[in-house]
Amino acid sequence: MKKIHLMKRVLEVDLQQTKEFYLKDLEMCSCLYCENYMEACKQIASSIMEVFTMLGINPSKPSHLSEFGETEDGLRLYIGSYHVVGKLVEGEYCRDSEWNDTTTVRIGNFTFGFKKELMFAPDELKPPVLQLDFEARIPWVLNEKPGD
Amino acid sequence: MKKQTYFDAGNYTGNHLHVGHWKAAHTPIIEGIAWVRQDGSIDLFFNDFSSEREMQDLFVGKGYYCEEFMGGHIGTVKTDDKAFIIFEKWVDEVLLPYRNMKPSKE
Repeated sequence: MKKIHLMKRVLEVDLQQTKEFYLKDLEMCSCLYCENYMEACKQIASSIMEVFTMLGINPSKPSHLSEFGETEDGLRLYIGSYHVVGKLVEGEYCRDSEWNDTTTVRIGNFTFGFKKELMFAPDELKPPVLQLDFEARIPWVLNEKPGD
Repeated sequence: MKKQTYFDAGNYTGNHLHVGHWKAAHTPIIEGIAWVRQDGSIDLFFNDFSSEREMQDLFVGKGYYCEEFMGGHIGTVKTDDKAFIIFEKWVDEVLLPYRNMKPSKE
């Protein structure tokens, strides 16, 4: 386990195991909304990519992803989760009922929070497993539009 | 735009939450239903349409799953708390701007 400082938190992560997991051919949803997120991940800001890289995550392979419509500014609200092999050593966990400035960190158009309670954690990941939840506002980047 | 089979009745436990949105005593409550799936996740639906046009513009025309009983599928969350939070966000950021922009027409 490697100790890292990230988003005002201290974590111990097994980068090797996490990276190996994300290198696998994981089954992903092929709906247009999920595909848009995957495509947008290819143009992700470096400050956000740094978070994923430090944790060993491939952002185009979330373990949960859902889109919630187009907002007034034309962006799409997505929520989702990733899982990593590791644990939070110092800093606040988030809960859905306590998703606020203290328990989460906003970087660009992403808001991240680490959650102790796991849901849909892949069986392949050996404990300890940490859940990284996010909310993101993502533009539509695919040529194909919903409803086309 | 999930596959039709994702929404088969057998995938739901029957348990559901009524998720409401209201800002003040004098404003009407806008309600959605959060249906619990067999795997524990929760599908958020909206069926309180002001018109057929609204249903068409917000769901059918955008490729979202929409049917008579459950309504339009807003998205999937993992906890009750998130269902309430996201429904409020969806109403504030998607439904109300739409309603304020386009007067309901049948």
